[in-house]
Amino acid sequence: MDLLWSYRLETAFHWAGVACYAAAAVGYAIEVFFSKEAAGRWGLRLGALGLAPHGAALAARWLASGHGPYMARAEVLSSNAWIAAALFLAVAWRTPRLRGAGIVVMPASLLALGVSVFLDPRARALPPSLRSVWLVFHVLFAKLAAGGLLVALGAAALYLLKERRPASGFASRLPALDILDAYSQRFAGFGFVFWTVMIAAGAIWADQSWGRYWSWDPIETWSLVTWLSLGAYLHLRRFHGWRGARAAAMLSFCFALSLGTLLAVPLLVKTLHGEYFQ
Amino acid sequence: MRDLAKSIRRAALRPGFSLGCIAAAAAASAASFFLPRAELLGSPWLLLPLLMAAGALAYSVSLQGRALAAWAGRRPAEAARLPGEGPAIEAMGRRGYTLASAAGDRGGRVLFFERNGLGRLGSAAFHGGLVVAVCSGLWSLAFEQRGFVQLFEGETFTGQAREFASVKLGAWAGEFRAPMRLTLERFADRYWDDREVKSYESILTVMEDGRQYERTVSVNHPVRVAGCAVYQSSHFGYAASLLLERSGRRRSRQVTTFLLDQPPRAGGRAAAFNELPESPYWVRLRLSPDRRALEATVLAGGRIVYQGPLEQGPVRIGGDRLSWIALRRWSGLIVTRRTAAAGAYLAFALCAAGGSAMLLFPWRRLALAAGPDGWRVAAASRAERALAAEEAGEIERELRAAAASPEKETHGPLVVV
Repeated sequence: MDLLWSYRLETAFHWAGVACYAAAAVGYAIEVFFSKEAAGRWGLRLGALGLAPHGAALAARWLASGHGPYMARAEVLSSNAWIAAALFLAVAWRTPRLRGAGIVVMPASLLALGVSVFLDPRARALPPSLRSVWLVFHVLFAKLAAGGLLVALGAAALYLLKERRPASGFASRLPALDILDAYSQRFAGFGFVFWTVMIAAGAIWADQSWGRYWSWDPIETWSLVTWLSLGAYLHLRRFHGWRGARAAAMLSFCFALSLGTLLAVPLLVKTLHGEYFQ
Repeated sequence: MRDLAKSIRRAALRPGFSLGCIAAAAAASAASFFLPRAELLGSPWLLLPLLMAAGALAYSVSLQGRALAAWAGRRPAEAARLPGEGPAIEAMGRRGYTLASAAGDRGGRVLFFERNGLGRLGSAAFHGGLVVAVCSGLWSLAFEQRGFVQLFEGETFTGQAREFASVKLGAWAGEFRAPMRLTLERFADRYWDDREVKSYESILTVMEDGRQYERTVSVNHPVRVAGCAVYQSSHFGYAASLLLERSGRRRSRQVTTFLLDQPPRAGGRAAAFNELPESPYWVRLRLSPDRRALEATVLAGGRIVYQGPLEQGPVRIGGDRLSWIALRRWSGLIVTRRTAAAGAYLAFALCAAGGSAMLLFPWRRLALAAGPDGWRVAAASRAERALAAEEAGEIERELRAAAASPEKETHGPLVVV
């Protein structure tokens, strides 16, 4: 396919995804603030509808560039947004009472996708060091981990919302506080396990590329700090009875760390590892 | 000593111990921003929390292992069934629970059910993988040998320690001598249309135990030779050799080779700046590999004494003569031994499998106790307590509905105490 047409197609699909995610985010906001359950259901449908053009845009880019969406800021943000939205929609379909977490997840996906549309769209060739199947595992599990943590954050946000406004119509339709708390822990555990696999896959890949599986690169170091923080969070919940607002605050801190590791550190520090976001 | 061991064990059993290890490791990681990396790797900042983490993890795995052994050795449940318990067992079976054991008789009957036993193995495997990962890291810190070699085309690396441009050794590693000879026959690099690097590889002739054969090493495709692994480094480039012929009282002929790093993109220029030894001259070189053009700026005493091309033949600088005599490619190779890579792969497999099992098969245990109103859930797993309690409520309602159903009466009532 001609590159120009591929770019036009990709842009059109991206904007269609933006429109659907924006409408979904509005639907969730109406459900939360005006207690209109039907708006939330429409939010779910529109979010699912948006996955198709967004996924098609990523596929078009993959075909044109010859590699997955992990080599430039635009495609990294876009693929992160897709994975987070897909994960949340799968969870919400399977567990409808967590649909309200869309108030956090859909706007975040919308923001990531919206920013990506305005970034430099040029595809970059894959350098030799990034041509490995372990890179695919590493990147896939990184995105799944980030998506899981985002859903956990959404559940924690619902907890805080219900705790602070228990009388609202939306809060009354939510599960009990301790159920929301348990889901938050479950998805944080999901994120933690996938973060572990991400680090391990990255270490094996680094060993194959450079003969060294850990080199204290800033991104590696901060991913370890994030992993340790998530481990501490899970142990505090399991053995020290941390619940509720305290646990939600710590989860927010861990999520901020993960965001910083994936997006902020590569921007601030120029490293070989951070080439995907520079 | 026994009292000390007991005290350590008591301290290790406290939940705060694992948190302390985690906090210490996090602090060590954050400290890596303030300590030079070379110092960090052997410093107490890192070793102490690593050892604490390994100890805490190993203890956790041993506790889980003992619990698993006890669980695996439990009594078969079939013999424990009493008449009338069938509907409850079937109802639990529809939720994926199997009867693990039973206690008591008709007076105080308790049935223990569990689901997803694989999840228990998953937790032990996951923590075991972490132990393997930490031990692999400690092994590398202790025994790893790693060296960087710069080879020109046509040059041979004979494996001697002094031939490494840089070496990194573990604390107890000893001198690194590679038991093979490597000759760089050719270095090949290729570029995309947009001049970004596409691939680069070193074609080597390997001599090992009297045998000679050719191998190609490229990124992500290391070569294993004589117990060592040879990796293609991302450092490679050109080597320009200059001949300085000095006249007068300091008559001499001296060849100096300048190493120039590969330009990041094809068509770019490579640069180097260095002195010509035993002379007053400093030379800044700029090489255009595509055009095989070499431009030099020669300084003496801070003044520029020559600026211009060298590819057109020897140039005069004062009474001396400078000429460009050779241009070769050089390639960086990384040679390693005893890196505990096998441990890293095993850790990955254990963590991936164990973590997946924990997620997909969350272990849950429930105890049903017979009461005057029918079955009730007497106890549930501590993990995900709220979700387990919610499920317990659903199970109780289901069992009571089943007990109240007229169809069930034809099969006999549930055991009621």
